[in-house]
Amino acid sequence: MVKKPNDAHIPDPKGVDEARRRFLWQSVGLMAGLIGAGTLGGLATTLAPKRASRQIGRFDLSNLKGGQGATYLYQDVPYLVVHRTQEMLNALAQTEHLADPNSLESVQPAFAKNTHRSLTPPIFVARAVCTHLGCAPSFVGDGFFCPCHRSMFDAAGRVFKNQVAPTNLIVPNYQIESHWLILGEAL
Amino acid sequence: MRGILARLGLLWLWDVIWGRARHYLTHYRVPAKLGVLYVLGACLLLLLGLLILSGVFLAFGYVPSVDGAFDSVTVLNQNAPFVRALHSSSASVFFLCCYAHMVKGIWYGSYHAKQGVWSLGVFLWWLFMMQGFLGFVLTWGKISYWSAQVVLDAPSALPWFGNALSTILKGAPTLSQSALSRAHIAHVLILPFSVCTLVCLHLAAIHMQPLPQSTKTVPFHPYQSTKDLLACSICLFVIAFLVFFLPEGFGLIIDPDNQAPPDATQTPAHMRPLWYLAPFYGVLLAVPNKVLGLFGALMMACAPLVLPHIDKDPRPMHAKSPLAFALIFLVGVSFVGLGILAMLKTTVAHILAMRVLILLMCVGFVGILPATLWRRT
Repeated sequence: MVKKPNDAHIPDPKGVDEARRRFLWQSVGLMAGLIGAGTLGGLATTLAPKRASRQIGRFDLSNLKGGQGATYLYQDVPYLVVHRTQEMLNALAQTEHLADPNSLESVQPAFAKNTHRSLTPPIFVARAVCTHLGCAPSFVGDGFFCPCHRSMFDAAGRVFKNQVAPTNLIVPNYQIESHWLILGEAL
Repeated sequence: MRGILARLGLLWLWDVIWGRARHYLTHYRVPAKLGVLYVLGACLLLLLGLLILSGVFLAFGYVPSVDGAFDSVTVLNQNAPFVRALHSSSASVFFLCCYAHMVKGIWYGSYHAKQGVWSLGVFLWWLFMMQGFLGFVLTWGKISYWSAQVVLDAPSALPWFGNALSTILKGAPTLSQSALSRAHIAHVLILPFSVCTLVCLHLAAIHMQPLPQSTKTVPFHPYQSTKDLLACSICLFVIAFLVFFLPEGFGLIIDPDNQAPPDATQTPAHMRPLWYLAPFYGVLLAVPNKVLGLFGALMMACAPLVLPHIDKDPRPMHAKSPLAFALIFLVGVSFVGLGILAMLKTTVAHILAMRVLILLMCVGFVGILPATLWRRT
């Protein structure tokens, strides 16, 4: 190549150290990649969920008669509360065709690992969030029914066999003080 | 105009837009005997334009907050009923044309010679399903709310990172403001740009496609463009009819059950999906297992992508062997049947029928490979 006067600033290609050039490009690429990933990661963290409030929820159950159910909203999550009658409790032991009768695969606090899945036998508390895809099951007299994909649960929130919901309804951590239900992660 | 542009030094822009485009359209050649189904692409382009136009005007009135969304849609319905109806009707007609456009691809076996075009089209179909669904979520009625709950909870079936993914999509453990904001930004900003990019690639891919030497061709303009314009006018007539006389489209375009604000404590007793997503809802409803149901729905969305690889007979449908024809037909009919059943009130009989249809669809789909292979040898 014949060098023209205005090409003087272009170095002679024969004198280029290819290995050094490659190293420079690779380190620039690495830095750009790190900066890019860091920026994206920083932006992505703003999408993370906010920490849940530790405020507890108190719900008055004095109006809930035997055989009645109600749904309460606590921190945007609906909770099912059912005041079960003695017949409903007796029926729990004889319920057949359950997918997980002893709740081994299901989520509940230690105090609810029993046949009635609750702190006190009559009052049943569960997250009204179907373990299938999160619709709210409603109380239908002898159990719970999720209208979205038709999963059936018994009165202890245990799912029947061959339903789309894989596990029993989740029992949250809660306390009961006389007729008050107290919900909250901080308990 | 030319004078102003010349003064601004932008005459080249005139050349590009007017000169090159006209030159391109008269020199771009298409096969001489294109069937009537080949006008659908132009209709889809027109409908996309209508959707963007009406969408921009809807966005001026829409309030993306959990307390304001439903009311703002109600106000839009009162103040700008035609804009709302134009957007929703265009979406439904869009999917009608979209499915017909896909049937055309399958009928003529277009995906053999034009695999890239077909794949880009399938990606577009996915994006449009997301768009349709998110638009439905934005109206924040009770059906929208619980549908969003179901769909955004769906990733939780994935192992290991499923729950985290679902939480990231929603931005909170439950469906709330952050989920609505995300849906809004995706619907009005991220997905439209992705869609337009993919549409450009889809069009570029079909225009770059070399035609076989033996094909008799004609210039695109005026031979195909007049057909396209006629189809577009018919399309506009249909849209106008829907907008002015049938804005709810018998509950298929706007679900009357959705005209109530959501209640976070109670899921409506009868959930009805959007008609163009109904087959996917049907799979979720009928497969008696969470992971399998989601897997099935996902597979159904991916099936068109696999089709070019399992259909070993490159001839159009009417020239294929009767068995291959029957199998592909079976898959299509089961898909439609599944959608229709999913739209009806759910009963045990319907669920059983849906399970049969899903089985038939799987059998038909798996059978395509041997049926087309056997015929060829």
